[in-house]
Amino acid sequence: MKRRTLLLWLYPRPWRERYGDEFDALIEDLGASPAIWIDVFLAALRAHFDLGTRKRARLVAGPPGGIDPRGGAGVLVIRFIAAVLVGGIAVALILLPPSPVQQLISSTTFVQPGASQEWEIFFIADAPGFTINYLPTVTSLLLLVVAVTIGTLADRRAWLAAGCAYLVGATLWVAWLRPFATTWALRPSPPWAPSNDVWSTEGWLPFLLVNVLVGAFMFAVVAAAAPLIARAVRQHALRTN
Amino acid sequence: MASIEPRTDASFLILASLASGPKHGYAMVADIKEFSGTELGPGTLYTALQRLEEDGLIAPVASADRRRPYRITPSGVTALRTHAQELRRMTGIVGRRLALK
Repeated sequence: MKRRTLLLWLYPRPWRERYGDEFDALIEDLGASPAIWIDVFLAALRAHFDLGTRKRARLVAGPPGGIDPRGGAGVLVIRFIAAVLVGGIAVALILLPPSPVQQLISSTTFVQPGASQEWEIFFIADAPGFTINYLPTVTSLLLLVVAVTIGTLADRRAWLAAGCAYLVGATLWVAWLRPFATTWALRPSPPWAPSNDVWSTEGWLPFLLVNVLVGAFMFAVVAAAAPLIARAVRQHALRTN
Repeated sequence: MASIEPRTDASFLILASLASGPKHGYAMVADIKEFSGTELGPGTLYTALQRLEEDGLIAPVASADRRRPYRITPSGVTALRTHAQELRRMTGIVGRRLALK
């Protein structure tokens, strides 16, 4: 992919459809220097935000017509409500027993292929005031509401960005929790461990792993619902225009 | 009537550039750099162009080329004239104050 095309890719789709060709030609004329990368990156972020929040977004009269204004105040409200609803479902999957995710968090059972031996893994987080549930719940819900509210629900790149942000957030959170006791256990003990019934160890890596898995599950749930909500948003935008 | 936001200098520079005739993006960047010394990045330029277009202060000119020119509209001329008068008034005040030093 050409560098200038990559720069154009940073913008939301309606913006690209309106200004893409001429913007690409300008980048071609100017060249893609580091200063231009920074300038375009910041402007693209603003374009994502503006598309979803500018109350005065509207069709510009006459050809070629401005950008597709799928971002009026009414649409913003719909997106916010949709975010809260879908986020609520995701949170319920995490918190309400006996959900499969709840069981995944508290203990995970694996059956080795071709063997009768059953492995059980425990994840325990003893940080005061926190349980292992809060990290995926809070961060995912927050990212979800932000991503949907700024109007990028139908844009897969937004979910990619939100996923990356989640991983970074989870890593930072775990780094902060590291001084506290975070224990994981395996029953029966693996062959390399001492011959106890339960082998346990402390560390931040399994804690991070389980949070990443749960977070990925939540994003999968939301991403599956995204097309339905995006379609409703588009229909609403057509009615209001 | 839409007006130029005082903080968005890019809008003022773009309108000032288009006041001498329609230009496409690269021509605007070059012209603005020549008469003001300011080098607008493509992201900054198109953020301002989008707002100016939505406010009806500029309009695209039909073109078969990818490099689409823009022209200033009558509303844009009025907004530019108002802003220029404001700048002249402020410059006069600054000049008088400096004369007292």
